[in-house]
Amino acid sequence: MKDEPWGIGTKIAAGILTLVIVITTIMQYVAWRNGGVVAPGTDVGTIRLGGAFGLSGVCAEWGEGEKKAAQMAVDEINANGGINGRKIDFMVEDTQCENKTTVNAVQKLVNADHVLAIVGPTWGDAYQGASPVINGSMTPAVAPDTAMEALELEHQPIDYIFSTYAPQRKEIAALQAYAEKSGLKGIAMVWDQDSYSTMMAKLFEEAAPAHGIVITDKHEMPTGIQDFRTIIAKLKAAHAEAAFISFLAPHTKASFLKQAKELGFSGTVFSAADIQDESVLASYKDAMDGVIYTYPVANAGQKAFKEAYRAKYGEDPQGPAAVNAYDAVRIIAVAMRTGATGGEALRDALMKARIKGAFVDDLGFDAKHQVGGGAFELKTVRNGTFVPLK
Amino acid sequence: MEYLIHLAVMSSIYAILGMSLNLVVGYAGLLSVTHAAFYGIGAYAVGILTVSHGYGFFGATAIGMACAALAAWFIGIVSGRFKGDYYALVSFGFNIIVFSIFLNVQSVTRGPLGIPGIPKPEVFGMLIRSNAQFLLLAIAFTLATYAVSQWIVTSSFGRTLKGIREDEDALRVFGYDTARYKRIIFVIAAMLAAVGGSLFASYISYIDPSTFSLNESIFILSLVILGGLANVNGSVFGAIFFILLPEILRFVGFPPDIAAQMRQVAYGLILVLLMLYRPQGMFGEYKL
Amino acid sequence: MYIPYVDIVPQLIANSVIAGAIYALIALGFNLIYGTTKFFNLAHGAVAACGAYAVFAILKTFALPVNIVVACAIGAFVAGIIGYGLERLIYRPLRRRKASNMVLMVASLGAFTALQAFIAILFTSQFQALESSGGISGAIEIYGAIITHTQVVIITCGIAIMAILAFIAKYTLFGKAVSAIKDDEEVARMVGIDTDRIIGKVFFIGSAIAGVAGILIGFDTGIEPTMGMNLLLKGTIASIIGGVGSLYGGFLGAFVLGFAENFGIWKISGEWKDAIAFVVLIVFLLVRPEGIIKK
Repeated sequence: MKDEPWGIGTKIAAGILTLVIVITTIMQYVAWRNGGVVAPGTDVGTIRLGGAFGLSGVCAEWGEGEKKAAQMAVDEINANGGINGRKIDFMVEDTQCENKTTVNAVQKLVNADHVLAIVGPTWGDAYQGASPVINGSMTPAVAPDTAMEALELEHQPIDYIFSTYAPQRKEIAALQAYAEKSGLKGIAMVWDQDSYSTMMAKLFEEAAPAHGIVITDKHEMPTGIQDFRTIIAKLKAAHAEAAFISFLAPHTKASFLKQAKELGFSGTVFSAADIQDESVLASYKDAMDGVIYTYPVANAGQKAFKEAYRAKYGEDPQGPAAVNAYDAVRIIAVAMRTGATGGEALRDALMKARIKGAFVDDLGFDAKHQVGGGAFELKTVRNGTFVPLK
Repeated sequence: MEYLIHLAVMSSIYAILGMSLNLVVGYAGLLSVTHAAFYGIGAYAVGILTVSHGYGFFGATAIGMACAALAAWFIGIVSGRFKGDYYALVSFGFNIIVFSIFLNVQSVTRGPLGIPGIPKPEVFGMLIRSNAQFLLLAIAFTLATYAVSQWIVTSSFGRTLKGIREDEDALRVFGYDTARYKRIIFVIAAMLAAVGGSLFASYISYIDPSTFSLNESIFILSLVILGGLANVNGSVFGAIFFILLPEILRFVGFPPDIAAQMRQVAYGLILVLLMLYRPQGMFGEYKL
Repeated sequence: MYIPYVDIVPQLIANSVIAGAIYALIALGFNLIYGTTKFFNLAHGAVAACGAYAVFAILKTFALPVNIVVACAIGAFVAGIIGYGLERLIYRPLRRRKASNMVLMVASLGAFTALQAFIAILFTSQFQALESSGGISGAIEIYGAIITHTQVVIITCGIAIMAILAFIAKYTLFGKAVSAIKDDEEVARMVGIDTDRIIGKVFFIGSAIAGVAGILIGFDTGIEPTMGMNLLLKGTIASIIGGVGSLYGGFLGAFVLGFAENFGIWKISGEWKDAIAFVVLIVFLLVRPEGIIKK
């Protein structure tokens, strides 16, 4: 054959050499930038805080809002003199809502940027690959939306991983207690094949017998499906009294609710905290009317956050977990103010830290590294706003 | 340095995937968009067998390769009846079907919850702990894949394949069972992709179906096309380039709001520009 | 136990028809383009999204005081222009160079990725609704099956566009030129047809139809930058089942797919929805590769 291995070989060699040079330059540059980093505990320079959000891909809807809210918290802290006089340098990476790229993002933050703590990484299935990196490097990571329970169910270490998101077991318990009280016996479940949704469904099913609830029907759908009409027709034909829905995106829930209304499904629809997404409500206020879900008891912080976000960005907080990202930055800052700027000391400080949160009033972490304080109440949508039930 | 090692490990894994896919796309001329399925089969074999059945890494990898070979044999029989863009479309379909199996056969794969806690490999009784050690293992596998690929393409088998690619009818006239040749190379490529998958699973330690979606197949195909069709070296280049591209794009200095999307724009434009100005890829010897 | 089928079957048929009409709108434009250029234009899905976002920009971002129908017409026009632009900038130079249809397909994949990302940059990744009613549309009931007004429009548009295309193909000079190119581009050029101009127009029309599809889906469920991928896959499957390049084929295939999916969900289960579509495709390709309607 007339291959010309040498000609091509030279080209390849040149190409790879160029690449090596590029990499080296990058590494040199990174090292140079890191020259400004000071050892934890000293009082000069800035504090590097990492952010790992899903800015593209299936969870970009959540990630964009989380990033904006976290940035808002950083700006507020810096405007108020930073952390013990040191400004926060907020470095954001995109996790692309995917396992592999989340590992990439966290590797970059931990090993190239040498951040002292991370807000994120987000997304149920995406952060599990990153958890060994976080624990191995002893970099505390406070995630605004994760399926924390997944780590626990899988007996994976949670050492340096925290979550400011709603604890799912608590949510479900509150929801099922309500269902029991209102005399509902059977509930059907509809969820999509996202790890968060799947875990919610799993927890819901597990907890049901304790509240005397029978799961009448289970419908699992691929993620990204917007057409639920046939599933709803099935629910209608089976005369389902109620349905618990859990999907990757709040707007999918809105689609389900819209189609359920259009097709005249008369049962109650239950959901969880992630349905409280202001920007989705703006488009689907009639469709979402009457859905029942759990959320931390309303407090001044929730309202103040919403207003501050609107003032800064001129839009409603995007995605359900923007508020949780805001709190994550603030609790990290409080922990760092104790003088613990990294590693084990910061983890211990995080365990002790308590703030007046925007999500729940008394925000701190329990033994499971989840938001401990605060009770959940049942909420619904009425006249285009999220309101407490009754 | 740790981060550089991480990028190198990822590049090795994608180099394995790229080289193996190039055997099918470049040498056999079949535009396959289903490579992530075999990648996933390899990863799942290691995930399932090491976590819950006590297998070692190498044993699980071998079984994964066998499973991938079996799947490829079957897929090859069906898709072998198609050519050109129809072939691409059918392979699309198989990727989605295998992806659905990862998601839906939950008693085996655990579905969307994925498999966490996959152990690191043990080599000669020594557990690989650091990423640097893992990199050595990954490079060893990459070199092996490289050697196998080079051996195949320079063998008489490889030359026949190229012949089929250029003029299938002529070779059939000469009495070659061309369908069989295409199926064999497809199976070999699938087995090599499974190796990439097993490395990925034990390196990241967690796998879930979303890693092995259609998008991943498109990504692998893109790096093969960029590096060059029918050039094994090109695929190594393509893998390194695509893994480093996000790093390079950092220095363009897009505002952070749009940086993530600009990377997607870059992927798209690279494909368009390549097709317009260099359809054989950077170092390719064959045009689609 | 009463018979459950009476409860559910009319609605299932309605759901299948609605889904079929949506797929048909994508498949019609896709098939039109495939018919003349013989390559799978993967950018078609993203073009549909562009049309929907153009309407979103008019009605929501800039809140222009225009009638919804006018906004939709502009949206379809924008989609058409984008499709035409792709043809001029990418596909035509490639065709001049006698690039294979695989090269064209890969290029269109690149265009798809880039367009989708541009939309996300301009409008964020947030899911948005086109309608302003707060979510619930009025509906009609036929034998117990409920179809919303938006969905009635979708079905009507699907049928109307099919009819218009059939009319154009049969009775106009343009239609005859298109079918000449379909048969053989070289021959068409030799008999004096300006093939580039005709293909440009075909791209405009096909993409505008995709835009209509995107807009209608936007009114029915909502829009997001990544909406094109699913539409594209289903539209492609529909055209191949029906007979790629054939007008009626794509239309018919769309409804076959709609019925297969919805009855599949009913009898098998929801999680296999995506796989069902591709199994149907592969079975068709094996058993009847030329599609339902033979060319």
